[in-house]
Amino acid sequence: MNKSMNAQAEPTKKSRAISNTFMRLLKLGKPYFGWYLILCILAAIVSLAAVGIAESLRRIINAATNKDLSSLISGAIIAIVIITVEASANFLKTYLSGVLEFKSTSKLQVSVLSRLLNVQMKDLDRYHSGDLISRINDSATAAQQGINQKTIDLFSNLMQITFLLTYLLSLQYALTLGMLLICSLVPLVMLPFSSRLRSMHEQRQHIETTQQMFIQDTVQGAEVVRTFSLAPKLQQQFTGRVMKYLKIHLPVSRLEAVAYNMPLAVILGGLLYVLSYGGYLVIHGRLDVGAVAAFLVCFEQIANPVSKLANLWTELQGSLAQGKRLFEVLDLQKEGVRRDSNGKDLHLGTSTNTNQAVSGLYPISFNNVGFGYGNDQVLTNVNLTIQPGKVTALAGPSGSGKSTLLQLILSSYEPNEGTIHSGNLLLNSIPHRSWRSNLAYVSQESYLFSGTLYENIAWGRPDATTEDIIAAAQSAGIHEFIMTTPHQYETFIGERGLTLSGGERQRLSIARAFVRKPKLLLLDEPTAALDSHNEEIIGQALQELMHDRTTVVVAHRLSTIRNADHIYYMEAGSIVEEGTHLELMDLKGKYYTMVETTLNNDDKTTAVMEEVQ
Amino acid sequence: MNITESKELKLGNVLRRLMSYARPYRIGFIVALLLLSARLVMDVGIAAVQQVFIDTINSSNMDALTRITVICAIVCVIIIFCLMLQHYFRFVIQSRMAWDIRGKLFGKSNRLPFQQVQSMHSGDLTSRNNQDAGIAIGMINSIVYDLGYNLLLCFISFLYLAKTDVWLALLALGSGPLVFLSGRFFDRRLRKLSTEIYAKEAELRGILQETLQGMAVVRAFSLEEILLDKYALEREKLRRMQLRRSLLNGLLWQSSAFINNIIMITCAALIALSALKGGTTAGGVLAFIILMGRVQWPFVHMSQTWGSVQEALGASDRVFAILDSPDEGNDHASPKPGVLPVISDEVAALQIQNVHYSYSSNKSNESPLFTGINVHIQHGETIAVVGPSGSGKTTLIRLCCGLYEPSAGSISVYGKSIFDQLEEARAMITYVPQSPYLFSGTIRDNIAYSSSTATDEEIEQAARLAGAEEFISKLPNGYDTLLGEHGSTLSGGQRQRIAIARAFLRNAPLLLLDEATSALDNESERMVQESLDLLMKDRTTLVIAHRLSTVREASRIIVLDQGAIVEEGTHDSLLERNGLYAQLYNIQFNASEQEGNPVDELTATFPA
Repeated sequence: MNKSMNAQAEPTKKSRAISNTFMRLLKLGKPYFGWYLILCILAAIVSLAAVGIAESLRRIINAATNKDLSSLISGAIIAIVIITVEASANFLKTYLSGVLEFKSTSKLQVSVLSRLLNVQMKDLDRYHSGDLISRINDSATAAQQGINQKTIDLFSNLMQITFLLTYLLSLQYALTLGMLLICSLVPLVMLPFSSRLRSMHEQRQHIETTQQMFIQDTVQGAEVVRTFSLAPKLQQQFTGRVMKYLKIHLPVSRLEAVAYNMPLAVILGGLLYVLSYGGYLVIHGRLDVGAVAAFLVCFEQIANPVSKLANLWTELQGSLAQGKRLFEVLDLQKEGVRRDSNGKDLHLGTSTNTNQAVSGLYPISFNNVGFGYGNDQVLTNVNLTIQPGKVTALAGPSGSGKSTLLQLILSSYEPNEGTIHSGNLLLNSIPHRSWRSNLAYVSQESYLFSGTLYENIAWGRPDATTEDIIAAAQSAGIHEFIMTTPHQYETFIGERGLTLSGGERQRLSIARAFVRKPKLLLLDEPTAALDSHNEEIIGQALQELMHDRTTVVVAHRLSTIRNADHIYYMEAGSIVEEGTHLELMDLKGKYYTMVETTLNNDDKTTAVMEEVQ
Repeated sequence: MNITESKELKLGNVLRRLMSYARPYRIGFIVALLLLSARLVMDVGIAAVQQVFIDTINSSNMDALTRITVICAIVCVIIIFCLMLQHYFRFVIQSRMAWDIRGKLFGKSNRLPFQQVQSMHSGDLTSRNNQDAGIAIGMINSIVYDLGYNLLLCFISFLYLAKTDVWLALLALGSGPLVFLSGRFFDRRLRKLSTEIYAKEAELRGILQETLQGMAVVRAFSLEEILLDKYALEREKLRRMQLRRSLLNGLLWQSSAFINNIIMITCAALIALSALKGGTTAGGVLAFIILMGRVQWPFVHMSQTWGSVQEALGASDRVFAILDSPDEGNDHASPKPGVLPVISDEVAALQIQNVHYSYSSNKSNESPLFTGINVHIQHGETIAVVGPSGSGKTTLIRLCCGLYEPSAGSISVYGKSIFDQLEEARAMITYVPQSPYLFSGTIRDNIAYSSSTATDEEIEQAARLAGAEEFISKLPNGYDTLLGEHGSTLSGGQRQRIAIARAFLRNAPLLLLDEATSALDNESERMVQESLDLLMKDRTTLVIAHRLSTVREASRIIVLDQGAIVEEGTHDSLLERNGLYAQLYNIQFNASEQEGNPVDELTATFPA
């Protein structure tokens, strides 16, 4: 948003941005140059055929006026041959342009998704998933098709014009030149409107996308929508957005109504010119009637390409607006590529070093780490060390930055200040893929994919065998449940596993972590919503999983915190106390207060309750 | 599930229903149709004018030429102006109609039975609204304007042509349908293929949606490549289908055009032959050839338009499949404001009578969850539901909200039946689900969603009661802070407090609570608990309890196991009974005591 605003404020910047978008749009077309060439040649054949048809019609008419039967027959035969050629060339052209369109857009869409899968989480957080989907589905398609179509138009129209011009110029040059002038001047009237058109296209697409996000949110929140009877209110908002859309759509339609009728204006104007001026020439004996007829037939053939050429820039505005949206996401920074070049040791990590770093044998250390989302500072000056093979617990009030810290270890985010090391390697210098291949992350809210139960566990390690999967399910205490479902491991679970209960979802996501056999385990305390029986099983299983593994757990329950080897107590983004449970209790600081208030408070409730009873 | 396999509707039926969306804009629609006559004048007139010109030229009359030129120029300007207006009206109305049907679809998707929504991917439903609805409306427009216009053009051109030569005109007209009918060979295939394409596009949207929304998990488990491959694979399938469609379209278009061209040349040769024998003038020949095209080409265009109609039918099938599926409940009149039922002790706050329910609608492979469950809750009671995972606690609450429809039995809230007076019954209920769902938008909007008339003071009051005021005031824009998708910019505890604030503002007498406070840290859990206690005060509450204090406070506890109520009573009486409840209780607290710690009651959890 900011970018576009700045761009609008400063005209020079703006034009540079346009030409930049334009150049990049051109680049999208570069790999398909061969295709364009073939399609242009086909277009040339089609337009040559048009000349041929015009010529044969001229012969037929002249034959009729001169009463010459043999030339009539030859004209008809030529026409039939040409029509056959034209039909097959036209078919090839339609088909091949379809092939090109689908090939290029599907390739672009896949590459946009692949880029999105690799950009920094921090950047990605700013976009609604509905917005991103619209950029992949709508913008990528529109941009790619725009450049394909317009490039082919440009070349084939130029070719058509060349052919027809040579033909027509040989008939009568004054008539031809006048026609050309009319064809190109009229559409040029639209040029001043083009930039306005583009910005309106942008706004309209923006509203359309907002509406898509809104629809997606509403559909996904079906439960809340129903129980709170939100439907009337949401409908109202929907209508409000439509009004906003129409407010821009109306002027766009007005401009488009004019733009799209420009070629027609050209044709009518040109026809009049040919008929009146051509007639004038005939009357003065400088042209034969057959030539005027040929002009008339050729006229649409030449008027179309010329007016299209002149209108090309105007028509490209929609694609440019979509291209801008596309390039915005394509330009997002990739993970693991740091902009600042001051850290020379960034890319020292050789593969052996990397292997050592991810082996889980080295401590992970935070040095003066600071992090924030936008203006919102979440972590400040964090120093901590996670010892290998030990359980480190993070405790503290809600919003103190515990989960964010976990995300930093995951290297989902990069710290704004300070450094994170694994052993003596900078975390940033280790390829994200290899770093993450050694860790398993269990989030607070389990996220599942639609698919079978088996697939959902197998996401943890793609090469896992069936035995591994079942073992993991057993360890996570979900195996028995799976066996009671209709198709057992092949049972299909709906979108995000919403057909399962919360506990089942959580156990599945734990099984997913089990099957991964990680060296480093990151837990955002998940056991809380499980029932006691399963919790016991999982408690043991997690103990087993934690054995000999480095574990970082965002702990909410006193029992988890107490069992940890080392505790960091966080408040407002900083670590205020650290040590073992006993040490921290002795300290009688904030941790102590937290533990005491928790217990006291509960005692009080109990006492009150007992009194009542 | 039947909704995902949309059945093919009769064409006439589809058209009639789509046309009904044009009713509010009939004036504009008619104006656009009338303006279309400008195009008719132009298309027919060009041939006539050309003939006049050529004949004038042949008669070498310079004055007449000038006069005709001026008249034609004026007419042209008028025509172009009319056509611009026509274009404007047509597309503005088309977009309005599209938004209308999308609005209707949107409303409908909010009224579909919840179970059906759950069985569909949200990406599918979204895609039907975003894409298919627009395509369907585009079709009705292309039928009315393009097909209708071309048909009319054929007719008028025929009349004109018949004046010149009746037999040739008949030949041209007769061959037209041939062109059109030759294209019908492709119809069924196009329609079927298009339905498949739209379904595949919806599926791709689903994949994208899941991948993008689950990005944190995708990254942590390095699923990038697998998911990308999955997307690329499905996209490739889509590409193949699209290619097949473009092959079909290419065949359809070019075969029509080719047949048409052949006929045209034949006719041209024939009329030239008749001119040769002195039947017509050269100008007549030219006009005839051009007019021939006017009679013929509409058939080609019609044939091609018909092809796209078949494509669009695939989309409209998908739209109507949603619009035609039944609403949830039986009544959709919104509750009249202020007319709340009398809350007295005689009317049960919640009455569940002999309810049967099974997850899958086909009863073959899964045993039903509930077989005749009965619950009776008096006004002012607090009932806790306890039971092992999968025992049906959440399903019970969803049944009470009318989210699921029981196969037998009845449920009523303060005397309002869930089936017959769904919206009125829901007005009496506040449901706080386990994981709060927030919308993108401001915090204020998210709290105020539950009430259409809330003032700022009321919103702030609700936030205060929910213990959310403190963190909201710390946010850069306070109540106007924009939340990310699903409230992703807030922590779990903060999201929960906003959901509770929503419940406060709603102020309904019956509270259904799916307790999830145990996923919070102690500090915010205490705050959330305090506000929940406040919320439960003076309200009838049915709570899925995980915490001991909740259970103890409850006036009655219901123990669920495998869809049946196995025990019922107060905390103490159930402990004495030494059944499942006592068992659940002991597992938790013995485990804690074995660690040699005082009972950590606040964090003690009961089954999920």
